[in-house]
Amino acid sequence: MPKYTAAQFPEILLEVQCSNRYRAPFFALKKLVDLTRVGVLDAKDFDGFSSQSLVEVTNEDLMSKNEEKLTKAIKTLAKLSQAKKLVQEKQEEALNNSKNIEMLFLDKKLLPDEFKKIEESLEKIKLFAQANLRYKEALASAEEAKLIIDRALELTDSENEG
Amino acid sequence: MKDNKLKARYFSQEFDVFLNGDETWFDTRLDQDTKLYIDPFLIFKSDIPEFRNTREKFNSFFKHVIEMIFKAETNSNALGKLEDHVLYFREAGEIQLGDSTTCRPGNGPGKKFARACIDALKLLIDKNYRKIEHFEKIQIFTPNIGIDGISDTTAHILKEEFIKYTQRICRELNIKTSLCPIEHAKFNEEDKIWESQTLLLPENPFCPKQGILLVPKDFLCTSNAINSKGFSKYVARQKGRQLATNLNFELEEKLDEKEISEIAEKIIAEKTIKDIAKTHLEWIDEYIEQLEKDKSIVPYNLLEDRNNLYRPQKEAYSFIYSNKNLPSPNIVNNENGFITCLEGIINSFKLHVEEESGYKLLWNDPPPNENENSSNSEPYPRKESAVQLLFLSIVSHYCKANNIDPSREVETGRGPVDFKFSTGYRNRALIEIKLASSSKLKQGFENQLPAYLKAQNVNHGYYIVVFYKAAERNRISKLLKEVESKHGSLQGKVVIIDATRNKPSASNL
Repeated sequence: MPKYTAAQFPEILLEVQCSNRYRAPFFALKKLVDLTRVGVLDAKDFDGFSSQSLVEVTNEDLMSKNEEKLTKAIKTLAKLSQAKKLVQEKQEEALNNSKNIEMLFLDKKLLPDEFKKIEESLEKIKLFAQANLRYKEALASAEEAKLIIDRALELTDSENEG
Repeated sequence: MKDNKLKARYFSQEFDVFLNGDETWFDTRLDQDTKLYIDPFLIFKSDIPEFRNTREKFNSFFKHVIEMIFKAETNSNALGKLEDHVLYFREAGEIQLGDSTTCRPGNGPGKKFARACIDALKLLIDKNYRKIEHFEKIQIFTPNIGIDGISDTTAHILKEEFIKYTQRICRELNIKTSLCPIEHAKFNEEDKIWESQTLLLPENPFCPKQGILLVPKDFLCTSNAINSKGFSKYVARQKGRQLATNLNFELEEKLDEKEISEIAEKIIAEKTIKDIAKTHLEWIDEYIEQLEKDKSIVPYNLLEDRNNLYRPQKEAYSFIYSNKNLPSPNIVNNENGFITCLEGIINSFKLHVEEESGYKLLWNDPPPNENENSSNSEPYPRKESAVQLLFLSIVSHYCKANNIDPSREVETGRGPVDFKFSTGYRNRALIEIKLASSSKLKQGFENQLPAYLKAQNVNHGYYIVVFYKAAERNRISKLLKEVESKHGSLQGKVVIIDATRNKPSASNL
C-alpha cells in the first residue's frame, strides 16, 4: 500500500489502503487531516496543501544500503541453524546404523533379512551424510554473515557509554 | 445548545445563520442530498465574482481533454488516464445535491460517464469542433449521460470556484471552518491531473471531515436548459421541412409551418432524437444560440418549489427544530399515553399550519403566464397529497422521539388508509386526511374511516380536514351535523385545520 510524506512533515509517513494510484493521494490527505485533529500537525499550516506536494515513499526507499546484506546474512544463519539441527538429529541414528555395515565385512553368509537391514541403514547414513555436508557448506558462508550481524549489533559510542 | 436535542439539518441551522432571503447561496440540507442539480447554462449567466470566468474554465478544461484524446490515438496510456482519472468523476458530496439519501456521496458519474463523454467528444472532434463551451449538449446525442452526471461534472470542473465562493461567504458570516480534504480541488493543467487539497471549509456534522461547498441558488435546476426534449421541439419547429426532405418525405407545397412541425414530431418519435442530433450537430449549436437569447430560462424557483423538493421539508423541520415543546420521549408506555402523545402530535401539525405559516406551503403560486392578458394570477391550493406530505414531514420527527411508527397508505383490507400510527399491536390509530372541498368528505365521515377501523380492529381514528376557504368551514360543520343526526356520534375524532390565506397579522388582532 502506498506511503507518502512531504517536506512539511518529513518525519511522518501517511500509509493508505488504496491501490488506485490516482485516488491514493486523496486518502493520504484524509490521514493528514486526522493528524491535525489530534494536534500532531497544525491545521493552519495546511490550508491549501496540495496532493502534488506529497512524495510517495516506496519500501526500497525505506531500506538502508546495508539492509539487503543484513537480510541475506540472516537467511544464511537461518540455513546453518536448520542444517545443524538436522545433523544433530540424524547423527546418533547414523552411528547406530553404521554398526550394521560391519556385517558386510564379516566372513559369513548373510540372510535376506540382514541384507534388508543393511539397505535401510545405508539410507539413514546417506541422510545424515547429506545433512552434514550442507551444514559444513553453510558453516563456511556463515562466517561472513556472522561478521555482518556483529557489525549491525554494535551500538553507537554514546549508547555504549550509557 | 438546542433544548429539543434535535440535530441541525440545514446549513443555516448548523452555523446559526439568520436568513433574510437575500442570500445568493442555497441553504443546503446536510444529512442527505436535495434532488436539485447544477446547470452549467445558468452559471454562465451569473455575475457572482467567483464565477465570472467559468466559460473560459470549461473551454480550457475540455481543450486539455481534446489534446489527450488526440494523444490517445497513439498512446493507450492517455486513454486510460482519461477514463480512470481526468473524466472519472465521483459524486461531489460537498454540494449535497442529487439522489443520495445519506450525506455520504454515491458513486457518481463514474467510468460509464467517462467513456460516454470520450465517445461524444470524439464525434465532435471528427466534425472539427475544437472548443467545447456548453459541454452539457453532449447529453442530446449521447446515451448514459444524465442530469446528475452533468451536475457532478460541473461541480468538479468548477470546484475551485465553489471553494472560493464558500470561503468568502464563511468569512463574511464569520462561520467556523475546519481543515477538510477535498478531492478534485483543482485541475493541474501542466500534468493533466486532478489535485486534491486540504482546505479550511465548514464541516458537515453528519459526515466528519467532509467539507461543505455552498452553491448559488441561481445555478439550481430540475432539468438542464439544454436538453433533448427542448432540442426535439426546436427541430420540429425550425427544421421540420429540412428533416422531412432529408428523410425523403414528400411534403405538399401548401402545408403550413404548424403542419410541417407535426410531421417532424412524428419523424422524431420514430427515429430518436439522438440519431438526428448526431447527424446534425450544427442544429444543436443553433438551438443553444436561441436558448442564450431566451430570457425565460431561469433557475428553479425555491420559494415556489413546484415539485415539493425542498421547501415543505425545510419548513417542517425548521418548525420542529425551533419548537421547544417536543413531547418528551418515553411518554408512550400505555394506551392513554399513546393517545395523549398522538393528539399532541396532531395539534403540533395544526399549530404549524395555522400559526407558523405552514399554510403557505399548501398554496401554489400562480402558474407562469404565457398569455399576458390572462387574469389567472391568483395562488391556488395544493392537492390532498401535498397536505399528507407536509403532515408526514412534521409528525415523523415527533414520532421518532416517542418511538411511534408512522406508516403511510397502509392496506386495511377495505382500501388503503392515509396513515397508521402504532407502538406495537395494542396502541394503534388510523388517520384520514381530507380536503374540505373533497366530494368524498361526507362519505369519509360516514363510511370510509369506520370501515378501516373495523377491518383493522383499531379503536382510535382521526379525520384531519383542511379547508382553504372560509366558506368551506361551514360546509364541514353542516356535513358533520348531517352525519351525526343520521348515525349518532362519529366513530373517530375530527380535527379541522384552517389553511386559508391572508390570515390577519398579529398586530391587527
